[in-house]
Amino acid sequence: MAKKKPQYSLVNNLRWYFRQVQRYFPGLKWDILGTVVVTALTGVIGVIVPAWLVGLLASRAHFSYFVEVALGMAVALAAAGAASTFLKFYADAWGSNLRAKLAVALHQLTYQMPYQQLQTPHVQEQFHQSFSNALSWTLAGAEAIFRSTKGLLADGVTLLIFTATLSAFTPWLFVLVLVAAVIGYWGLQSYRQWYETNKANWATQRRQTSYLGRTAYALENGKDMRLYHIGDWYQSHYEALLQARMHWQRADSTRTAVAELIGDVAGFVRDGAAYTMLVLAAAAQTLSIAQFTLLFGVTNQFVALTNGLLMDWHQLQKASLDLQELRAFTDHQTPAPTQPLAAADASQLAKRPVTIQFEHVSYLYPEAENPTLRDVSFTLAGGERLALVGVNGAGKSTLSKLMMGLLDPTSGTIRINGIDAATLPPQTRYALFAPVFQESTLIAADVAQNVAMTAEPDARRVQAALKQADLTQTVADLKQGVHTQLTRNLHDDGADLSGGQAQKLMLARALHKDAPVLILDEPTAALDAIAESAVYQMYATLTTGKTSLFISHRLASTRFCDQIIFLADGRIAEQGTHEELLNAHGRYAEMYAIQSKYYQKEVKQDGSGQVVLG
Amino acid sequence: MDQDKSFWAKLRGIVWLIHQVDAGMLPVQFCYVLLIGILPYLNTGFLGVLLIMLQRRARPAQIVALLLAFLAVRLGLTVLQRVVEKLQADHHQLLGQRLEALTAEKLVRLDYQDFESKDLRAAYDTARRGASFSGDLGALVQSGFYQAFNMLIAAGFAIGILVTLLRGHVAESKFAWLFNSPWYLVVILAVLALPLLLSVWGMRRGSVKQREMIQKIVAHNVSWQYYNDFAENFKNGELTRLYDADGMMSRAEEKALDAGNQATWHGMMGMFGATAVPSAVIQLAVGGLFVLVGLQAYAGGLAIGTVLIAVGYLQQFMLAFDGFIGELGYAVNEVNYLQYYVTLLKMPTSHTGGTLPVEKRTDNDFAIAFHDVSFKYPDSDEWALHHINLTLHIGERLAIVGKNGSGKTTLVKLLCRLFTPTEGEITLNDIDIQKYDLAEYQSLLGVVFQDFRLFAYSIGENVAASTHVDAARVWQALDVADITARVKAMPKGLATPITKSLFDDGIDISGGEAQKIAIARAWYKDAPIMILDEPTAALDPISEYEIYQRFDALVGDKTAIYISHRMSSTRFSQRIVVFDQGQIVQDGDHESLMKQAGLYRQLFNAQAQYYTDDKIKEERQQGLQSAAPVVQ
Repeated sequence: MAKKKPQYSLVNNLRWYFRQVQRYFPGLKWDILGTVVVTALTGVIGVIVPAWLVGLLASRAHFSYFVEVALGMAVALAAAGAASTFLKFYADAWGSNLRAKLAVALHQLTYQMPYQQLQTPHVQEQFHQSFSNALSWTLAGAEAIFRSTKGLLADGVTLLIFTATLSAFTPWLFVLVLVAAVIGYWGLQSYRQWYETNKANWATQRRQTSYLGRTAYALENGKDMRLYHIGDWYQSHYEALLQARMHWQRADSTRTAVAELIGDVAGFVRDGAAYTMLVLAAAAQTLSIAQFTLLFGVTNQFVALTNGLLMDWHQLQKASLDLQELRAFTDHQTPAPTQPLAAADASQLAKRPVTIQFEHVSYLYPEAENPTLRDVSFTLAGGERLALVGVNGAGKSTLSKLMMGLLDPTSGTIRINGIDAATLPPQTRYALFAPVFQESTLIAADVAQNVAMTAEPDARRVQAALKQADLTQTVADLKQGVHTQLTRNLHDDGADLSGGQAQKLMLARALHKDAPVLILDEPTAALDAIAESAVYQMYATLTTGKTSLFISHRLASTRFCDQIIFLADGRIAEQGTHEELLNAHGRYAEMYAIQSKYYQKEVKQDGSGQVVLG
Repeated sequence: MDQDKSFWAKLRGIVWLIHQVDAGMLPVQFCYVLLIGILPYLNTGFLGVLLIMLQRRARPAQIVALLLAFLAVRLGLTVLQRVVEKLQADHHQLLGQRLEALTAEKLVRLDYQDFESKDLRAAYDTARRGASFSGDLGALVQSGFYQAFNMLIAAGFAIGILVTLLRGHVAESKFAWLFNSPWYLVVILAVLALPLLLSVWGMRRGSVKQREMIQKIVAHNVSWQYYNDFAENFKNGELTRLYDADGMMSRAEEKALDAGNQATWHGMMGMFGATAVPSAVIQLAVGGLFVLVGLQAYAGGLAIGTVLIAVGYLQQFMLAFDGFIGELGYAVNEVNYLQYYVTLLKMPTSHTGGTLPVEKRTDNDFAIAFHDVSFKYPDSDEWALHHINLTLHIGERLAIVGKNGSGKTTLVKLLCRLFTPTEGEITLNDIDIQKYDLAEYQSLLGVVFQDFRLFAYSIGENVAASTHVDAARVWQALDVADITARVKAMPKGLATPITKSLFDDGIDISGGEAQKIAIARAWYKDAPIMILDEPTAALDPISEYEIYQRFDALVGDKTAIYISHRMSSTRFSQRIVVFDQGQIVQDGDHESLMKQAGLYRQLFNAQAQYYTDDKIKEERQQGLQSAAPVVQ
């Protein structure tokens, strides 16, 4: 398979990375320099001084001189060691920190980019790859690039010094070192290509074993696992996965061993040649034993230094590959544009209550086959309550997202107060809507912050919203009232709210925003009958003066609304008031009849005792 | 988890664990360490012997012979190293994979109470955090055991060379008395001991500092992880955009990150002394050893080559010791939190130890009774159920209603033997259910929980809850659940995976469709007792109605318990039991309960009010309604 050239070259990535270093932690540059110097120094002292001492012993120099050299070496190496430790700590701490800062920047980008983009499967995939390859752990691209550059330079400079030293003795040893390095590199490279081509195979297993592990532990799975004897099912899957994984493991480790042996043998030839030359020279006394010791010590280092160098180079290349998705994502995904509105449009938009029109709107999810909405047209007049009903999957949530501007229509126009919504900057659009979503999302922050969705809430405004949502007593009963932390994600003493209470908090949040359009998406699904009825009672008062959209499949709620739209297969199947729709005897009427059947005074039964639709 | 086991007991536990998971791991690891570690000794040894030979003016042939021997051993060593390295890598992978598999399988089979227990979960959290911070079992083997083996090997060589030093005989000279006396050994040992003692000091102090740092960091890490997960769940993007909250979340994330990094940096600087001082002192000790041993060479009692070997081997020992001690702190930590696995794998899968087989009946004649059952959850002080007395008649369809939190689901959990009653007993055909074999007993129950779970495997496997799928029966089950058409339309039919979590060709299904599959799964099991807990909560009215129509097909002549807070479902139950605050407060059928001025009527009317003519008229008259006209 032809190897694709990566979009961002190694040099390009290095330049990018060091721009980030300069921006966030410039000290890391000095860390690299310091490490190179200390490593080289330590290596050099480590081979020179024993040779020196051997020379002193052999020539029976003055003992005090011997002592000076020995202790001098000791002190120098001790200092170098301490410096090395400090530099390593520094690199570990701030290199890791830099990686984390890049993760924060990535998240910021996802918060600010158009929501539609985030719905696209290949963009999501790119995001996950970005995070996984470049940012997720210590050896991910954005940290590995630093470590391996540092290692490469340190080992490279040291190796250069040593090779030069040995070449002073035998000029063409330099060639041997180079050739052995190239052969070693080639051996590893062919392994790496195999690895890149095949690693997807065990990624699949990894995904599955990871899934099995997580689900086995997850508390919410426990009941079904036991009642359906999932243990045996798990065992079969694990056995299959293990076999598959070990097959690849053995293939991988064998190839690694072979690749490295190729380098080892080349290295052995290099070292063998060097040792032989040195020994023969020493035996012929063309080398003093001091010189021999020095050069022997130098030769010993080649294996470690060359392997280190190759490893660093390999990791650097891998780091560059691992950065591709992150670079592509950050280059192609940009924050949504924010040109301000013209003054005339702005004052038009400020009119209250807000009117919304859908004109022949259709929507197709990215990479989907069938459109979710087809040619939907309606007007939500200012101050009106609109109910949106339909079976699951009919497109109700999609319609509300289009209205709010989270999604853009594939075709057709949406108008807000007559202005084409596509011309509105996203935040201006979002400011008009206060949604209560189907799922309650509590943030790990205190009650007030959860209501106000800001770090510094306005206490009175928060209390007013809580009162409207009928939560004043509930909040007062909490240990720290409105300053109580919610959820146990970050605080062990955080409060957990029941399904009903959480849903009321979502309502308080929407009311706090005080936006002209209120959107309620199945707000009572988790509530029991009595709580549900209380919410419906509230609904009438809460929506006065605002335009509102109410999504539900429980028809009890729609009777409060001025207009009802019945969606089916992405189209408006029926539209009208509750009475009009009942009189039309269409699908709405049918659904209503089914739901209300059980609450009527009398239930028709046929002979079998089953309830029958009368 | 026992905190009071001694370290050695815990270590034995770990060794047992490793052996259970992969018996070959530790022996292979030892060989690997041996082959890797031996190189410096070989090099130094060769150099030393060669210098000795040169000093003694040996013949060239002898020197060449030595060289060839050295090269041959080097080559052999290199090849062997790679072979054992491959074996080690394979075992390491196997260790990790099998540990995961054994752990997951154990978790899935554990008694539910153990599975849910806070202690177990806390231990797991500790193990997981530890694994990401210091290392998992594999890391313990590769670092902890590695260093231990390495040090043992180094100690062997060091002892050998010390013996040689002692045997060096010094000719008459000023210091002959020193070298020929045992004091020489003592002085050398003293020079060796100083860095070793400092290593131990360093480890202890470093450990303390590390614990302090970890405590500070963990909270920040949890924080950062939370914001990280929040951002990665793209659905939250709806919230942050509509409520302009991205600034708040980003700032909080950055704050947590910065705080964590400051804590890490300060922690590391705190540990600097403990790490750097022992290493520095080792270097000084090497200098000292050169002086001491060199002196002996000067005095003529030692060849130069021996000086190099002696200092070299002793230096190796000091480094190995320091390496071991440095790793010891982490290793002790790892041994501690890895006890989770030891304890987990040693746990029995059932505590009640019931062994009775369930009698196989084809007439589904199973009668369940609750005898004065009361129940408190393990970590709670409040009673969830009070003195429940309930007899389920054979083939009866029982509806259980009540407000959220009234004990309905708890009753089901007790019936499923997920928990044991605190007081009282539950009987099946007059025998305490705890006495039956757990697996057999649970095979009598077909359950759809309120928070049921499906798994990201194929629809067929989900319905069958097994890799053995009886396709014909699965289709029947799907038909009962009214989802046949939908599955037939799927690209791979029964083999289509649910969600894309595991397989890219999976499809996403709606909440209602998932509920139908859960219903199909319960039917497939063909259990004589069916328990359905809010089985239609996520379904739209039409689907819900269709399920009710199929209820007969679903339940047949089996005993069925049906929990719901949608009162519409109670109309077709022969018997309704009303729960309130953990007690049964009403028991009867719809008509009789509607005549009582109790909770049932209250609940029913609260829901019915939107659908009944009377109520509408009444509200109209009171003018509470908005413009919506009345149904005629």
